[in-house]
Amino acid sequence: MMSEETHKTPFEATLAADFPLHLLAVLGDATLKKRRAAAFDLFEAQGLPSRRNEDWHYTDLRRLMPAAALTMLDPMSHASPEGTDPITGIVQNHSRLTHSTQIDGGIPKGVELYSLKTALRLRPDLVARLGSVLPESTSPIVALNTAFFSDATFVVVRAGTKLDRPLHANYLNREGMPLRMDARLFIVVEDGAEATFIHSVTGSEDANLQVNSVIELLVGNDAKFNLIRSNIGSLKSTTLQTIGARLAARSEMNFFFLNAGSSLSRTEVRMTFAGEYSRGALRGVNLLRGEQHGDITLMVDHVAPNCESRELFRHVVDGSATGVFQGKIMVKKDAQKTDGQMASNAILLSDDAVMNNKPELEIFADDVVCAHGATCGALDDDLLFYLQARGLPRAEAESLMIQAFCGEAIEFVSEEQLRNALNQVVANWLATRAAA
Amino acid sequence: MLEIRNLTVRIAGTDTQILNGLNLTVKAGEVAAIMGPNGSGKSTLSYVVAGKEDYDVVEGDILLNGESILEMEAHERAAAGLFLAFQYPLEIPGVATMTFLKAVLNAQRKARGEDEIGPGDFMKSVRGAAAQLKIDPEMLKRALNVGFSGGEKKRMEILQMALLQPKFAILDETDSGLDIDALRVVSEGVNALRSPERGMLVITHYQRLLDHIRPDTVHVMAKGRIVKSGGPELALELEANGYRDYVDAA
Repeated sequence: MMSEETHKTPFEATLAADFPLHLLAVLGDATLKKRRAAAFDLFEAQGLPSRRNEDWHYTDLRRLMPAAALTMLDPMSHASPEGTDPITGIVQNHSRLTHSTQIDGGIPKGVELYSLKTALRLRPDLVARLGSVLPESTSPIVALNTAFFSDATFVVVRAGTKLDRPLHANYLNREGMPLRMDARLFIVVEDGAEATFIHSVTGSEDANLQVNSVIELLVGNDAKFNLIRSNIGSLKSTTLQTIGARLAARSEMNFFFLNAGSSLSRTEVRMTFAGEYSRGALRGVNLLRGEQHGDITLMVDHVAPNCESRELFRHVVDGSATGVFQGKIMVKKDAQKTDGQMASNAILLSDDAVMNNKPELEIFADDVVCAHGATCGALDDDLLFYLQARGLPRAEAESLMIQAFCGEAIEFVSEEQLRNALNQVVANWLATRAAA
Repeated sequence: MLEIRNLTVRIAGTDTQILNGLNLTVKAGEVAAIMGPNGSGKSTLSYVVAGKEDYDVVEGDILLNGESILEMEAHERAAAGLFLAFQYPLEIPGVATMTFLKAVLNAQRKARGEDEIGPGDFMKSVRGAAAQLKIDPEMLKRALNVGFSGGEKKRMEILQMALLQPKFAILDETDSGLDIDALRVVSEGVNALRSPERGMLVITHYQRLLDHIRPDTVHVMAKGRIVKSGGPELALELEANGYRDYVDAA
């Protein structure tokens, strides 16, 4: 009998058929093409991850991944120049990327921006560093991205540059033919630089995209970097993203993710503390309803000593949606004096909602402070009664409590405008829920 | 004002009966005190009047100004002018006290078909009430009741009552957890809200609170019923002799 693992899924079969032609057409010099071929071999050898792989136990892509759509050749054609997303609508003072080599109002001083094409010509060193944070061996999904990404965006914030406005790339998922998009972003924040990058995906509820994005971040010594990521709308889309960050000494990185979109999404963030005295935080809000499946997987890798990590995720699961949180703090042998804290809290709003909450610690050093906690539960009836007894109708009382629950994660975002924008996204989600 | 007729109540979905045909009338302008031992059903009475859903009313009625409120949900009763000061005020993480106060005040105004309160008027009335109750304005920026002391939580309840200006207020063991100074501040806050149009029901174990909030009538509750009613002197008698005679008789 043929086992489940040996035959190709429709998704895998389409890609296998497409890849030879894709490799001929896609941008890249001989070195990059060779790498793409090797990456696809690696993907083929493993196939889509299934529940037999512990890291994908709750998000079985073999079962969940829809058939492959056509590959899109220019992902940046979906960059949105208009203020169409709630975050853009509120946050006005940002430097918007309108194409992989263009920013509205000009590229800020101290910033370099390259598409794959310009990077191959001007900065082959950057192209060669692709995969230095997230090698293809990270997961079949990263390998797949390396094989297929048709363009890439390289951002360099030069040493000592302190940007006073966030850089913002918004991808607009338009309705129409389903397309597959492999987006690749490589960001270098050099020593002592400070920057905020907003990476948002919005779109109509009917947009039907298959996105596989890989973001690699190198945060230099004494550098400070904030990455705000949002995924809103596009309820039929599939969104896979893998984000890798390597933090050098005394650096600081804050990541915030707001997920309210996609029928199937998996966000995997891997943060490595490579230099001493660095601080990193991964936080976010995961709003799921209908039959959405939203997976957030964190790998916090303490290699260097004296570093601090904080993780806080708030999940609100309604309808028959499924939420997944897997978070691991790994403390390597030399990472003494590590201070790590992880929390994942979920509110289930219906009997059919599911939350899989799995925090983990793996510690090989002996002088560390690490803690993790995970909770799942319904809204507290006594609290609801208290609010109702003060005059709030039940639906409003629920909304107030959920807004507050999410707000406790959002309040860590340092820019007030961004906080307001993120809170507004939650409010919009609650308004849709109340209207349903 | 508030009229409770033959109220018989069970814990929802069970045969456990907590209130057994309770009768009580409190007139406008009157402050009535209910005293009784632990387990006599005092807090259940306050929850049932406020509209908590964990109970089944199997018999009887509750009328506010002559109209039954039994079919109303908790928020509708609040909008109709009923207020419950909780024995254990709940902590609401993430909701700033000021945000909460504004939300509930406007929810009640909306339910009564009134306009939202203007920001200037709102700040003025909050500041005034806070000053009277000796509440630090900084506390109003913190999450409601989170990390507040027992006394601070009780003062916050009375602050809400002062802002909402209910027609009828139930104070459920407002004295529990208060030191003598806090008891005085809270009582002064309550006394300032006494008016010929407003009725109050003060639930307590102890005579002590009634030294500060002087009741017009005192009712003894035992085994889910009012077993004796009288004037303020009844509280003194209870303090001297305890509840045993009434519990045994009930």
